[in-house]
Amino acid sequence: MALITGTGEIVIEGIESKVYDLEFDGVGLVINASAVDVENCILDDVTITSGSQRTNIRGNRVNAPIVLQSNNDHTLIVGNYLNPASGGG
Amino acid sequence: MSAVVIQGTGQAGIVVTGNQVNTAEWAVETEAAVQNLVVSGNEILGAILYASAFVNGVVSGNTCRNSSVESAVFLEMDATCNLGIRSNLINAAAGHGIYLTAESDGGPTGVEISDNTILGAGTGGSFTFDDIFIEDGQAFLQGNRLRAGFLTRYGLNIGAGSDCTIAVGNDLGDPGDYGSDALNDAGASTQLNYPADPTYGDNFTTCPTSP
Repeated sequence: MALITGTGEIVIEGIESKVYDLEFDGVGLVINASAVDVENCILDDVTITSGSQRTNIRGNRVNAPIVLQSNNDHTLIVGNYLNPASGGG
Repeated sequence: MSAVVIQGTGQAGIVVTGNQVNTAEWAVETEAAVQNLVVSGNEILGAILYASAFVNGVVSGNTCRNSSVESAVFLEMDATCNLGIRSNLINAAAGHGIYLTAESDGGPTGVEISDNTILGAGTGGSFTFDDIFIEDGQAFLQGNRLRAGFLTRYGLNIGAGSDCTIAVGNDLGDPGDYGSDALNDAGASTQLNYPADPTYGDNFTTCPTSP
């Protein structure tokens, strides 16, 4: 699992992107595209931006809230460990 | 903070299922009028759902324990929300187990609360919280199993803002175990008995106060 440390955020812009086997330490993940899969990651803040749909968040450890901004139809949040108080936020 | 926060408008078909959740607030918090939200099969240390806007959904099969916020399932809105709250286990909620109240006027309507087990709600107060409190709005309650803890006020509390709530076939437990009673009905046109209607039998049709 690769480690991404620092501050700020990484923005996923590509439709049908895959984000997997990554550890985010202090860096937020912003999903700004549809049909993005996020699997087997350790995450801090996760934001799904307005209009990003069919996001699949599966099998991750998430240490901050997952925020759905608007029009995020068909978002799946399945089989994760959600521990929002332990990390970012 | 809550684990999943649903904001904005136009939210539909969001599924939160099979997660383990450790939160000081709710597993899912929504201020959006979500269409077809599914919150099911989650194991939660904390509370399940807060909603101030909601349209159509199911909250089912979750286990929740030791919630530290107002209520494990907290609906604070004025709308017909068509929400099924089914087969959840709510253990030792600090506030109410399930709480329906008005945001400004009326309260939530169209809420089905069935087959839940709620054990010992109100650990955060001194006989000020109930296993289920329908303060405002309208709900259909059936098949729920409620038990008092050391500090539970009522098993089922139907407040003065409730209109046409139906509650039948629930197991409320020993009235003597509660701080006040197993049931309080201050609502308007509450129906606590099956109708035994000559045409429709023990099925409900319209509220007596409906036009």
